[in-house]
This record gives sequence, C-alpha cells and structure tokens, in this order.
Amino acid sequence: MTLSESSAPDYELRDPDVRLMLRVRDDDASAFEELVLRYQNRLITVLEHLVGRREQAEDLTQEVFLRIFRARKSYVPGSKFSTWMFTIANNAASNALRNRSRRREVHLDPGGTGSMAMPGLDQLAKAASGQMPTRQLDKAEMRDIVRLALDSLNERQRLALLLNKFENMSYVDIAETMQLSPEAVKSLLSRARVNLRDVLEPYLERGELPQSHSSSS
Amino acid sequence: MNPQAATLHDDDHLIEQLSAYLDGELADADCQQVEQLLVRSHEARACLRQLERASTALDALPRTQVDPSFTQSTVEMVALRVADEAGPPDAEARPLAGRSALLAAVVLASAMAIGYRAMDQLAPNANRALVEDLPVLRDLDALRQVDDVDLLRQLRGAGVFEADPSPPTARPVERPELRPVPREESRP
Repeated sequence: MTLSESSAPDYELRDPDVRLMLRVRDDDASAFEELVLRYQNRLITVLEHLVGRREQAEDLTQEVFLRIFRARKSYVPGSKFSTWMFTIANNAASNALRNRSRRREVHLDPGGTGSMAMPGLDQLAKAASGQMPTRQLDKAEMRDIVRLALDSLNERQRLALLLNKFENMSYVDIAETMQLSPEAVKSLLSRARVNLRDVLEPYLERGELPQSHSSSS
Repeated sequence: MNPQAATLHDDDHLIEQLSAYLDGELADADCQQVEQLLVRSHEARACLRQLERASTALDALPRTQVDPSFTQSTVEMVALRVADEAGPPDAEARPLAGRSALLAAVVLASAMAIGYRAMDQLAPNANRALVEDLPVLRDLDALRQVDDVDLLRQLRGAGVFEADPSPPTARPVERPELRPVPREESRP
C-alpha cells in the first residue's frame, strides 16, 4: 500500500473538499458543481496573476476543472484537495506560458525597452492630471506597481508567492504543488520576496516609480 | 548569521530565516534564534520590515469574483467535452451490436432446429404416423377389396397411395393405366 493510499482515510476525514471529490468520483454532478463554485474564484485569482491575462486565466480554470473531472475515476486522496487542484493548475499554467513564449506574444515585461512600458502607468499619468480622485489613484497606482513587481519575478517565484499569499499554503503544500522540497520552497519564497522588495522599496519609501530595466531577474 | 556576509542583505541564509519567520514556518528553536537576533540587531529588524512590506503589498492585487454564469458554462463545457470524448466508442460499438444480434439469431435458430429434430427422434409423434398413413386409411375400405398383395405393391410403386397436397378439385391424381390381368381362356 502506497503512502497516499494509507493516508487517504485521513484526508477524507479532515478535508470536506476531498469528500466532495469522492462524490464526483461516483458521478455526482451536484458535487462537481459545488467544487466549481468553491474554487473558481480562487483559481482565476491565482492564474490571472500568474499568466497576466484574465481571459486566459478563465480558460485555464475551465481546463483545470475538465482535468479534474476526467481524473475522477482514478482519484485517491493523497493530499488536500486544494493542493492537488493547484498542482494541476500549475501544470496547465506552465504549459500555457511555455506555448505563449514559443509564439512570442508581446506581454507586460518590465525588463523590456521603453516600447514595452506598462500601459497602466501611462493611464495613471493621464488620470493624475486631475480627473481621478487621489485615493483611487493611489490604490490603482499601487496595484499597477505591485503587478509590475510581480511580473519581474520568474514563474516559479511568482507561483510560490501567489500560493503563499492567496491560498495561505504551507511550505509543505506549496512543495507538493510545485514538486519541490519544503527547503526549496523556503529558498524560493525568500528570493521572491527579496526581488519584490528591490522593485517596490523605492516606491514605498520615496514614491519613486519603477524604471524600465534591461536585465531580467 | 553568516560572518562572511558584508551586510545582512548579503546573508542569504538569514534572509531565508526571516522570510520563513514571517510565514510561521520555523521550528521552535530557529524561531527563538531569530527573535533573539531581532532584539539585538537593528539591521535585522529593518530587513524583516522590508520583507513584510513587500509581502503585504501583494494585498493590493485584486481577488477575482466571477459572474455566476461562469459556473454553469464550466459545468456545461465539461459535460460536452466528456460526451464528445465518449462519442466515438459508441459509434464503433453499433456494428458490433448488430453482428452480435445476427449471430445470436442464427445460434437460436440452429438450437431450435436441433432441439426439434432431437425431440422428434426421442419422442416420435404418434399423430405424425397417422398423417403418414392417412391415404391408406382414407381408402382402406376400397383397398380391402383388392385381395392381392402384389397388386397393392404395384399400385404403391406407381405412386397411387402418395398423399396429394392439393385439394382433390385442384389437380386430378394421375393414376397409371391398370394392366388387365391376363386370363387363362378355356376352349370348349
């Protein structure tokens, strides 16, 4: 008996979403719909910040649920349901990003030239001329700065941060999702936070907008 | 703390410990060590503050709330895709089902025929014997008039006693011409 099989009853006992998935395994359509309801927002949030596009994040979310449904008959609880689901999501996102880089689509890249400067900042500059309330401007500006900083990270650093922040995942769960060791996750998150700090600190300390830089992280 | 690090910012191990401390992922012993460092080192406290601020800044990112129709479209999409994937095997199975039905019919018919013949051999039908003897029975009175077995055999050989399937009016039974029995002529 494998480790995952021996702990399956534990997960079934402790995780209500595992119990839902077991009902999906038995072709319970309402259980599947419940899982979609519970996780669609969380999935789209993480995926949107990972791939940078809302529409693609929605497509990937549906792809994740399709894969979950396809795998239902062979489902054996070997982890928390969310960990398993985000493992699938990570794979789907990685494939999408890899395909995108192959097609060489232009996307937001703060490491690029001036022609790839963030559209959000330009809009904010225009809005700052007086049309947008200051408070909203600050929030919108902050959001765009953080997006810029997040985009400066590599895919693994970004995912680790998003799972830690939005899903409150432990290092063990992130490790399982990303197929790393907990020590590797610890190191990954540390480097991600340092990179994030390097981009954000000038803005947070002195209000300086990030400059385009040619070097990539 | 790495004694070879020029500043705290160069000490990757310590920064990892501070980052893990923020996440509550340090073991008790390591946690105490970090807290003792934070008490005595201004630089460590500043570093921790910067890491925490960078982490908190992510709160500015929006969390998505999808339209309720997204759930329905997702479930429908999954159902359609799964049905499509299951579609081709059903189309292939139809000819197989037809062939199986034909084979079953042939086997059943053969079994019925074999069973009928077996029953026929094992338990002869008395009524059938009567049917077969019907021509004789029908003409029994007339046949009794012929007091000659040889004649009867000749008549049978000519097919006189074969059952006529058609009604008597439909087709006349062809009867061979009887050869008169040669008579011995006496001279006065």
